[in-house]
Amino acid sequence: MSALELYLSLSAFLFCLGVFLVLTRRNAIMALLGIELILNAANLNFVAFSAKYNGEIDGQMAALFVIVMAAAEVAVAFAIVLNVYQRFKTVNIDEIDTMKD
Amino acid sequence: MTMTSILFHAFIVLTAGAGLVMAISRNIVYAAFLLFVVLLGVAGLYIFAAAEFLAVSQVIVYVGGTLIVVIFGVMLTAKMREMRPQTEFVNLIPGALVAMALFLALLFMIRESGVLKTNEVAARAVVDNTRQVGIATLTDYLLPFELVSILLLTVLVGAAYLSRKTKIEKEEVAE
Repeated sequence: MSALELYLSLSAFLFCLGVFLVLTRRNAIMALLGIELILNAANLNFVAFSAKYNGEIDGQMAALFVIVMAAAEVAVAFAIVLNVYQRFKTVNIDEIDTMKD
Repeated sequence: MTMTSILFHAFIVLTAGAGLVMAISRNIVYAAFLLFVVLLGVAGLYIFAAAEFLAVSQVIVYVGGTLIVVIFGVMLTAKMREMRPQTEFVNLIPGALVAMALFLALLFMIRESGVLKTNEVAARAVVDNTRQVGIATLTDYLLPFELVSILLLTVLVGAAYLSRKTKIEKEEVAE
């Protein structure tokens, strides 16, 4: 297997693990960890193609902006999760089905 | 096999293995720490793809920042009486089937797409990666760079506001 194929396969694997986590976990935090895996899988693809087309920095720049977005997303998501926890006393996604308690 | 090749495959196995254990782990704290291993593994793979600056950013921003937030989230929302912050599965069989089908479809598409038939991934770029990233940030990517700084400021204010609001409400209730 070539290096590019390994990168792309690992990226697909991480993406599917992320989808699995988002689909099957009750806990909102575990679903958020799954989203982090998905974002990392996308980044891995950007970087692998940046290395393939040697000298093109665009893939790495896209990955860099994705990292910044992920940091922002996590900060807001956890502020929301903490608010939800204080209001509902749970972070299980299937129990939070009303707009207010 | 050269030393570099062995290390590269070791990083691939480490990342995939940690991800797999994380996906089937029931303990949220374990899952958070396994995400730590996955992120470090991905940072190592960035270095093999000649993206040193990105690898360092990954370690500083993700491992140093994001993961601390995640672990704080786990600690603040886990029910401490249960001692072990466990979580259950829902839709286990359909979820696993969807993920497996998606993985097989993606593998098939990667093989069929024809991107693999062209030339090999360069082992190492000769140019200075950090210098290239710096120049690109302040020329071609200046507008996204400025927009991202505004985004980060907004997120900082928004997250602080969201976390603070509940305290004000509690005080109002107490009054």
